[in-house]
Amino acid sequence: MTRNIIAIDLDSCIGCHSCAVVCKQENNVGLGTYYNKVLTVGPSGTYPDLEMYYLPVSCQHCDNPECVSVCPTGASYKREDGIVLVDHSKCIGCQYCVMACPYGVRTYDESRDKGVIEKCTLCAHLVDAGEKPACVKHCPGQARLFGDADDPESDVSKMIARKSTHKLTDVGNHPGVTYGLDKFSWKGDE
Amino acid sequence: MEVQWPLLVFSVLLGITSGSFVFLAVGELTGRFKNVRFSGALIAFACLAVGGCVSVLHMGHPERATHLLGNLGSGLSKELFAVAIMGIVAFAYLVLAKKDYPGASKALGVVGGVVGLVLPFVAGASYLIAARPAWDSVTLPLMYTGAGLAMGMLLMCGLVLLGDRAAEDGGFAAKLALVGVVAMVVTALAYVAWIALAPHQDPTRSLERLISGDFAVAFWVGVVVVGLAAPLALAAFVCARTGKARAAELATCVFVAFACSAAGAVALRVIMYGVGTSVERFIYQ
Amino acid sequence: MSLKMSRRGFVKATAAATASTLLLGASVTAAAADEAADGARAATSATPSDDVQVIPSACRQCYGRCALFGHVKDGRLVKIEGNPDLFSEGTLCGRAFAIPQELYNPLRVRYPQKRVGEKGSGQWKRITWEEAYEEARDRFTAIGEEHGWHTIAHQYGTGRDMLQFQAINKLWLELGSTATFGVGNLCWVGSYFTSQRLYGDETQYTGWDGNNADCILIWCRQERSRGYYDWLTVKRAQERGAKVICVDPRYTCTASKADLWLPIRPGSDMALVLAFINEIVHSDKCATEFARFYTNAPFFIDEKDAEGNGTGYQLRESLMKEGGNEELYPAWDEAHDQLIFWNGDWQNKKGLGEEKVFQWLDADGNVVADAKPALSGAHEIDGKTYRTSWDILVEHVTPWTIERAAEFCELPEDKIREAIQTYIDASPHACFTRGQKVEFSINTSGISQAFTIMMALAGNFDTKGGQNIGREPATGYDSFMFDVVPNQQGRMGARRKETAMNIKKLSVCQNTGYQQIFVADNVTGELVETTQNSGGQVIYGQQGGFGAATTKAMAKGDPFQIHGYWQQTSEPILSIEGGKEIIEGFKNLDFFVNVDMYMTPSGELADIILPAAHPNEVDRVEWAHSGHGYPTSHTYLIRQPFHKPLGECKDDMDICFEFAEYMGVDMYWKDKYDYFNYMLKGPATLPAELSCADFEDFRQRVSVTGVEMATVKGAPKYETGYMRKTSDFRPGFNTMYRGNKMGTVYRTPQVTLPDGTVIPAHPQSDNGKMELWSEDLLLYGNGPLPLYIEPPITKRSRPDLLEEYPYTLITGGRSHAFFHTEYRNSPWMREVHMFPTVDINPATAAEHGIKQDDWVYIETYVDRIKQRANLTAAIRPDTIHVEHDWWFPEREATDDLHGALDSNCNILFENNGPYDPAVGTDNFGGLCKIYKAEDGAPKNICMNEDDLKIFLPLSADELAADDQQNGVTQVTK
Repeated sequence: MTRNIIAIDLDSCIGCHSCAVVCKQENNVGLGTYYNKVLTVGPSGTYPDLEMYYLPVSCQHCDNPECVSVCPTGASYKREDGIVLVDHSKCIGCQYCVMACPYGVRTYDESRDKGVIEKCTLCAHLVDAGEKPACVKHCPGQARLFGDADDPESDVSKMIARKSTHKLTDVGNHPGVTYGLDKFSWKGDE
Repeated sequence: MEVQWPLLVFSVLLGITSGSFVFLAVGELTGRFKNVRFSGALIAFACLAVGGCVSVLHMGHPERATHLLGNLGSGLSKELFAVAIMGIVAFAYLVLAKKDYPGASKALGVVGGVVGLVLPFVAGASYLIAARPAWDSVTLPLMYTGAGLAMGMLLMCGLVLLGDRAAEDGGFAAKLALVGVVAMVVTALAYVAWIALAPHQDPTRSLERLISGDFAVAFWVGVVVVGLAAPLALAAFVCARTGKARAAELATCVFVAFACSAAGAVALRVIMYGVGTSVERFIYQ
Repeated sequence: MSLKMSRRGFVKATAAATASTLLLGASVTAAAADEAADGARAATSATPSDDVQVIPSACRQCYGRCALFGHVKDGRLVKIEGNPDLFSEGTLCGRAFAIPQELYNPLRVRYPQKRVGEKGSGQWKRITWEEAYEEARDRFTAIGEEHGWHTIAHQYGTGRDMLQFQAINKLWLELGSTATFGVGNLCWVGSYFTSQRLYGDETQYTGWDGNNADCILIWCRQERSRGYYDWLTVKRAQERGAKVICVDPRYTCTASKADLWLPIRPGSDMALVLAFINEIVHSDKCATEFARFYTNAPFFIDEKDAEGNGTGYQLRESLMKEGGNEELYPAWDEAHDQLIFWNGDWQNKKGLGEEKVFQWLDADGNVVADAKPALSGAHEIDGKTYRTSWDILVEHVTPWTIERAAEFCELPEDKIREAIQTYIDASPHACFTRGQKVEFSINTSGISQAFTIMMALAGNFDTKGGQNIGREPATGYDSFMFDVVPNQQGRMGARRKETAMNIKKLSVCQNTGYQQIFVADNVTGELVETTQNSGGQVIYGQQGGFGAATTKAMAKGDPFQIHGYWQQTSEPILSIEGGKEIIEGFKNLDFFVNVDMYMTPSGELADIILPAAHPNEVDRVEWAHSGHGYPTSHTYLIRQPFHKPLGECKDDMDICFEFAEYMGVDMYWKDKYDYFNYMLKGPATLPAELSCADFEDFRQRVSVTGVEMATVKGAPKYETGYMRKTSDFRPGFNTMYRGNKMGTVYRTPQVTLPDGTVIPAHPQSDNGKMELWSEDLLLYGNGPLPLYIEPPITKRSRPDLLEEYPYTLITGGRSHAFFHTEYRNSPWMREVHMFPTVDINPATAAEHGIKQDDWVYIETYVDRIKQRANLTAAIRPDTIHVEHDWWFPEREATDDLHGALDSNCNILFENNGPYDPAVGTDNFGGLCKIYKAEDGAPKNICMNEDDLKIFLPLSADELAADDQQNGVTQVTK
């Protein structure tokens, strides 16, 4: 079965925010709303003995998404291929999913004339058309990879096999995005 | 995360509703408080109605409430059902209380008391979210329940003391209120203990924020002194003085205790939202 | 919808972005993920359909020139997408996606405007192009005739592209203008000038073969400042096992990715490069045979002796004896123990014979085919002992040990040793690339010379994995042919010629001559205050100006008053030192035309604004700038319009051609296409597959990628003659571009210097050899070999300032959200980087009670500015870094010229020298203090995302509704 995920090679990521900006173009995301943020982790240590990496964070499309279980209307749902989406026609804007998400990647954009929850769709409209998400297509470091985690030949699987990998903190939700990082030690909780 | 005021107000008001119905249920079981049943139920119902309306402000699209059946397993759906049942029971009890149907009132009153015990627990249980360790404990819904008991019972006790059966029912009412306040003190302290003990400790949700950090005033003044110590002292005082002091004066004490409890409940919930930070420390809320 | 609004009650009515529906106008981007999207969403989204045109083009949002597609619907750009088929591999940075926000920006000037209020009042009235051109013609002509055409300055900034630069340059040179602010001398000209002088190329920005390198040395360059695709090259090299060395005072992205980071003391770079050269010349990897046969290393130098005899120049036969030939350069032949002479007379001006050009000759003029010129060893000729330039070079660099570099650069010796060893071990497969910041100094020419020597002697010239020297344009013709061809055809105008002849009188640079600097004594390593002679004419690229000189002329009438000014694609108030004095100068002008896309600080002081088309509204031949590997370095790609220019905007090149007609200037080329066609057709020898019939043919092809001659010929270009710009294909180099293209720029022979010495006559030295020891730099005043010069305001040169200004101040690190002054009006880029940001070490911040995101003052002895604090361990505790080019387009013209002074770091530095003697680069670093700004942020600036909505693109209807009869409507928060 297809299990579409994003994998990000942090050794290749240069923190340029291209993914954050192209996402705004592709998904018509309003000012102040971010499907995709790029955090700078560090520099930690004392000059000049430093470590730093960039950490793009968007919806992790968790295996066991808490946002889906707390959603009272079923507006938040997980597709067969693993993509977690919000059906805006069912969203009542109660924001419990915002509280349930460990990663702060869901935005309640009350100013957006919607009153619904917005978040990364993994560009499902492109994926359904056989394309890659916009952030993956344009990543200047080719750090962002997209593919089927269950296919050992996919870009994501190969990167995962090659590098030491990490996930954002997991409290049972099992985040789907895998981060590869060899050069520095991972500063997050495992 | 930032304070969700509509939800906070809702949770305090539904606590009052719940505590009031527990009080009235005890009255039904012991044959007391008939004279405050209507006024008490009216206040309780009003609190629930107002609270419900306020909570709607939190939502972007309340008109899509029909979809709420979409995921019955979610905490919010359960909460909604509990509120609905409470509302129906409260309304029915209110209508019956106007007339004299002792059997029906008793049955509904008891049901109301049971729902009253469950409702704040269910409401608090919505916050049991693994991503926010400072919330993810049964002590949080218990704290909601305890506060509800204290506030509702103090309010009802005050009505009793102001009523024409103060002499007969006042002492019992005061004892009930004291029980409610004790429940609040115990559950509130239990919740604070949870903050200290929760896994994934982090400065943003540490006990230090309460003891000596940016929540110190809210905690020491708002929660400990005003919210817990004052109601406890006042409730104990009223218990000791029923039959000895003038009922009206005691009623004043009880209402002050209620107000203090409500203020404490607000303060503790403000703290609760404040320490409700995510387990993922890369995200700053 | 109103029903929902009212039921939601507390919704903020000023919603940041109903706006989002306007982000891209009618958007074809889909959010089709919501299968059951609500009405509002469905209305703003649509799936791509047949009525969307997809147009291949190029990005001009930095130097990288990435290949992209524009999706155009109903005449409007709705989406940008990467083109995977070219060097950028489909990748694009955030700036590319902001193109629609630039095109439809509310602050865009769409019609010609004439100022009707006071300068800086922001009051404008729309006029026609004809009115604008006629007034400009009449006013400029009046100034030219009354005060002289040299009193009209012109200016070109980093700009929209190189071809447009040629048009501006030609127009104004023909008109007799001399002064410019010369923005190039603070980024690229130092390197360009120096390497052109040393061997006729601009290697330090044209080519580094990271694809095949075993070591990549990156000096003060950020992965994410321009041409981000270079990072793909670097990371693939690393994955292959290549070592990446980063030299930078800050822990940048590049530093974090590097295998070795040298956190160098700001301004001390020369000490490290000299140590590199020292280790290289003393290693067995040193390219001595290259030095022997392709450089001037074996040449004898006519050093001054104790009595002051000697010219200081390279020895020629003419300096040895009466009637000697000045194209014969003596050296010692180790093979036959005899004096030999290099015949550099490729133009056969001195009658040495075509067949003997670039050969070693014996005393009788016979070719010595197997000569082996000695690199080392002094020889006595006619009673005077001469040393080779090699020996002088080696003597010069030998004191620059790793230990000394460690002391100057404040680096650990082992790190320096490791870096140098890694570079030497990898050579000849080691390449070097640098950022512009290395050149922001009064020693920009010297450091560029030092880098050139380092690369050359490590043997990395034109090797696999080294420096691919010699820019090879896809078709063989580069942008400079725009001016070269007409001049070759004898079509240079009379006024231009006359101006060139009298440049000494007509240049604003005539008063620069002597300056005090701190030089490290080569023997002791101590800093010594020295008087430097700046050569008399400090110019390059433009024929008479650099920032400070032109500023003084405008503001103070020194050496003469500038009366007129034509500015195109530039913002000197922000980009040149002494911004306040530049404002004063602009206020003095009688007439000022600004050509730009937006209302800018300096534009508000102009008399007429001409609206420029956006780079994606015009046709252009485009190529990646600033140094890349193959195939990037050999590719032309098309930049073609997504739609017609908005309103009455025009292509910058067309404006130059049109105004040239008004002014009666012969541009030689009929129009831009005439030149494009020439350039794309290429020379007759070009393989047919690389030649385009014309621009329309190119439009069909989208791109052309040329070949690497070193690969084709299997030998470095200097061996096969492909470094020769003369097309004589003789092995060797060109140094023919000596001097300014418009006249002499040297110290004038026979002039007496203050110390009593007389400048001796000097012949040209254009002899096919690369100059390591540089006669040109000697003549300019820099000195023949790279000197360690301490910047004028550092802890070491100005200890007297330390008590009050204890921190080293550095400027100009690049932000990936901006390109110089651009994008401050782009909502998406400002979202990425909202505020001018000062980097400060947390320990230093704590000492001053400065917390993250506090607004702080940064103050030098000149002035102070305000930026927002970022506490980061990426910077040394004794160093502060401020960002450059900050202004606030959200502020009114009357509000400090759109906020041009609050955060503009260039007002922190004075413009009174010293300067680089050759190119005039000023000093852009110093000492500062820092303290919390109790008054908080600058007034009237955007403080959050909600505020940025003012910059959201205008819809087609909004654009149509405002025809700018009274200027551009200022948006404020």
